[in-house]
Amino acid sequence: MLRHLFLAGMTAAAFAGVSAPAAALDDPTRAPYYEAFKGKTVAYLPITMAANITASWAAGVKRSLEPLGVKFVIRDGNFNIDATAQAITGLIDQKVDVLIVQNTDVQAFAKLYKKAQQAGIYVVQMGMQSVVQTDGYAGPDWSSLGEKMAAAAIAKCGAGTGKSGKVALVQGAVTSANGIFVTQAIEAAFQSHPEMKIVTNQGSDWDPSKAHAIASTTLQQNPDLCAFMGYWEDEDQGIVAAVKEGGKTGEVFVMSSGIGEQKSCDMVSNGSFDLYYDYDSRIVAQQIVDTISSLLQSRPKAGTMKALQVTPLVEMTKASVTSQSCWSAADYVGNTLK
Amino acid sequence: MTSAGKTTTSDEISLGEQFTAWWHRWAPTKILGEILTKRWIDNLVPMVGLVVVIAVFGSLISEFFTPSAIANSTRQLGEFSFVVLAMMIVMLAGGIDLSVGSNFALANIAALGAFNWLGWPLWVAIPAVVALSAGVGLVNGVLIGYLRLRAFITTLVTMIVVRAVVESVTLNFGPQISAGDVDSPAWTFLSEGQIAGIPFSFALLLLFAVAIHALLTRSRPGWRLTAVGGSRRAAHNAGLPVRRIVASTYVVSGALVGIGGVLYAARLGNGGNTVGVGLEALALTAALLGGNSLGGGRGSVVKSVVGAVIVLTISNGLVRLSVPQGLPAIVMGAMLLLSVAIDIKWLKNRHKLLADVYVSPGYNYLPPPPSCEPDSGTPYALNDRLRDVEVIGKGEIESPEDVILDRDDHLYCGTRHGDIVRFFGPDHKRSEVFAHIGGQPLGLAFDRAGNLLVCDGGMGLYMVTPEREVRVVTDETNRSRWSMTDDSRLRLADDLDIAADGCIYFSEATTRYEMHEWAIDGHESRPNGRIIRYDPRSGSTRTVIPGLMFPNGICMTHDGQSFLYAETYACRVSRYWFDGPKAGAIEKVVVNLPGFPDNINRASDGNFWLALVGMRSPAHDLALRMPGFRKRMSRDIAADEWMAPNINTGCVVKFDLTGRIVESLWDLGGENHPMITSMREHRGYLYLGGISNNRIGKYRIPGADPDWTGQDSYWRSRK
Repeated sequence: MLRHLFLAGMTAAAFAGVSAPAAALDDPTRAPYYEAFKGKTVAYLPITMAANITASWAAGVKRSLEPLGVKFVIRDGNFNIDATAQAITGLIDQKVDVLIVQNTDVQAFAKLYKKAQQAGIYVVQMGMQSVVQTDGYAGPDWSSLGEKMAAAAIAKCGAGTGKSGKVALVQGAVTSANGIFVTQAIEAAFQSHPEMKIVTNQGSDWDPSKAHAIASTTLQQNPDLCAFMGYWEDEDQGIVAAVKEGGKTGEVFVMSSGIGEQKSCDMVSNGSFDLYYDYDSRIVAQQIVDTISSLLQSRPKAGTMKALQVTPLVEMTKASVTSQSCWSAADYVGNTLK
Repeated sequence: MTSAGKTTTSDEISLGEQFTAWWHRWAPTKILGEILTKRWIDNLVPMVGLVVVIAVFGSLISEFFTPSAIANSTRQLGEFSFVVLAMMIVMLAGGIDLSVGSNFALANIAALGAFNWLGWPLWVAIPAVVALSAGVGLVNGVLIGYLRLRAFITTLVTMIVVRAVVESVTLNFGPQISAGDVDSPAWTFLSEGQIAGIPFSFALLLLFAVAIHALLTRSRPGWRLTAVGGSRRAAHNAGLPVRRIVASTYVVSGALVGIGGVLYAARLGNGGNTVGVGLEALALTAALLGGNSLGGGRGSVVKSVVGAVIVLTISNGLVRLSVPQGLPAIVMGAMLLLSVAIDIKWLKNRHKLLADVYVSPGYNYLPPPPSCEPDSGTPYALNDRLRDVEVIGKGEIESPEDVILDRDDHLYCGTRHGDIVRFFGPDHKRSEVFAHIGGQPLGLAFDRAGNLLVCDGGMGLYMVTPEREVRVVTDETNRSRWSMTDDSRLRLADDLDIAADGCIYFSEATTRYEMHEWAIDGHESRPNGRIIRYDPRSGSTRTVIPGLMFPNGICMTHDGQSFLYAETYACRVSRYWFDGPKAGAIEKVVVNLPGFPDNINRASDGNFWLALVGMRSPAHDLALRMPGFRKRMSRDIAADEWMAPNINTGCVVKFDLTGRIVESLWDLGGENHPMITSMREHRGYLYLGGISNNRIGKYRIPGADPDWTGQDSYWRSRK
């Protein structure tokens, strides 16, 4: 050890005043990496910020990007498509570097995406994709979720179960990727199972009270309903409440999906949700970051790269859920967005 | 400085009073009141609101005013304004349309479906969608207009039903409708095209705004619509097809909403369920904020567009500021409440505010008057010479302001019922209604051809031919260049005289008040009147002397180049040359009269008779120098308790062209003929008129030429 120090000292002395010390090996990737992010602006446009799902994505993305010198701006859509469209227009004007957008409708922002990409701005879609494929998408494969839900429903209510085969679809926004692709997958799967009957198929616009109204009407009209297929955990609270009020807890099978936050686990372990698919927010956030990271580092022409980052779906039931299954949004988001 | 007992001349007026005079001459108080009478004043508050809102959000949101943000905002404004216009048209006719939001969503989904999914060409799809939305309006219209259901409930039901239809369409066909992305330049043009740099939807809005504005303000259907909104019953009684008009407003409303929906569909292609949710509340808020009235009858395109800009700016701005969720809705609710409150309060209190502000007393200094005491030795000294006047037509007539006699000694006067009454000469015992004009006939004069010209308060200058045919001579003059209000209409034509060339010069006492409000004009004591010339050769009417203080009597002098005129509240008589070397000059002839001069007429001895309608009093003179005092009076107490010039007792004086008062005639104690506004000499007698009298007086003038008549004095020598 002492000898090493001595050698180092000698070497340093020998080269002092002649040239820079050559002992520290340059990491050739480091400078370009930081250079790629420095001074870039990334804009985040969720449907609303008043939900754990978008807040946690925002927190994860912000925490990863800001230390790299990225300016992270949030434009809360507040369920107002027009406001988001206007915000996107403004951000294109400001020539931000990346737009991260959550689509409540598969069509609404298609034109704006083209415009943004023409202006050299990368567009990364999150959570729910639009019909226009842009530079990147991070989020679940909704068709896959639909297939899993359909399979579970058939197993629970289909032939040989002695159940009615009646299921109710309580969608979020029917023209969102979630609404369209999950529903298509379920309907496709039921094609070969004539015993499966969709007795209700309505959109709740992500609103628990609307979901509640749909669910309780469905229960009254179909006392022998076998399963509720909910499309998003927040609105599915309404289904759970309706089932409880109808005294059908345990009788009607309730499916849901969401971000796997602690509340979700609680709902599963207390029997409110019989089956739950988790697309972990922390993973989605990381996928968004990865997409942006590779875009900013390799800098392809906007619109040429079509990177997909599919979030894995993890099945949870009362039997499988453990204390480690979920995470706390309060802890994860913390003060990041303050 | 100026104690009551001390004689004050104008040189001694204190600095403070000079400032008062200056301030009340030039302060914009009068203009302020006149601005409040304008119809566009309703738009002022929304306009200020608009500027404030844009300033606030513009400074809070950095990218608010970038070109493309403005372009995007105007596109959105284009769509939204169509909905607000739809709401306005229904409101204007006294209704309300809550179904606009649902109908908008229906138009949106129908347009997307027809175009994206069914692949209809635009020229088929757009008319079909607009017709569909108009159809929803037709349902509303039939239910509300013809079946007389309540608008609120009916459109609430339509709103729910149409929304349910939209939801079911979205649910069943939403994916197909949303997923389609037909590449059509025409469709793209709707959303992204520009006309002369203006976004298409906004350009379309401008086009419709101008058209609807013209329709509402310049066309019969528009007037009828406003009339129905103003008073349904009155419109019905006037024979308007109220039901059809009400129904048609909903159809138009539906069609306009349809256009908005198509534009929205083209811009966003959003087939979601949330389209148009809450739009009816936003549109209602915008319409009300802009100043359209909930009760109907009051509304305009400009108001609606201004309201739309305010609401859109706030709703977009709040979302962009990322305020907590729910707050935008709360703010909008508060705005709606506020605008309803303003609507009601403004309608209710506008005339009160106007009454507070409109009356704008001026400064009017009159030197202490000459004495009228019986033993004062002045020509005004009180006497009893009118005590024994003969009374004509007592109780048969009311308000004979002016009197005149024709060549056959018939006596004419006006009455407050709008009649010209003729007493048959020579004894004037019998009378008849010679003609009915309306208004309140005031000054009278015969022209060369024997036509009776009448200044009619509230109507203008009229003529009654010997065949009793009544004709309008003129009822408007040129509008003053810098006047805030339109003063071209004649409000209070007062007295007239006719020059040798046939030109009629007549006074309009005030341009700010109506006939029955003459006392308020006196309270104000401002130069609100004017003298106007009507030229029968060209038929033109022009103001020749503006800015006179209640100009009243007019009388031609004998030189054929000038006339005398009295300014009642200035207590003076002036002479104006309309022709000859001194043309355009004005000279004061008699100043500081002890009373308020009214009509002037020729006397047989070459002098002039002048009626003093009432006498000045020290308290009133003092009040005229204290405009602030009179302003407080007009604000704090009822109009019938304001100080008014005395018009109970007056007299007749004779003066010459040098301004010397020759004599005065009084009825001391007012026993037989008080209250004189005019006098006319005829064959040795003086006939007396009075606006608040119920008789005509006839006074024998000692030593007067028994053959002299006004007719001859004016017309014989030049025949």
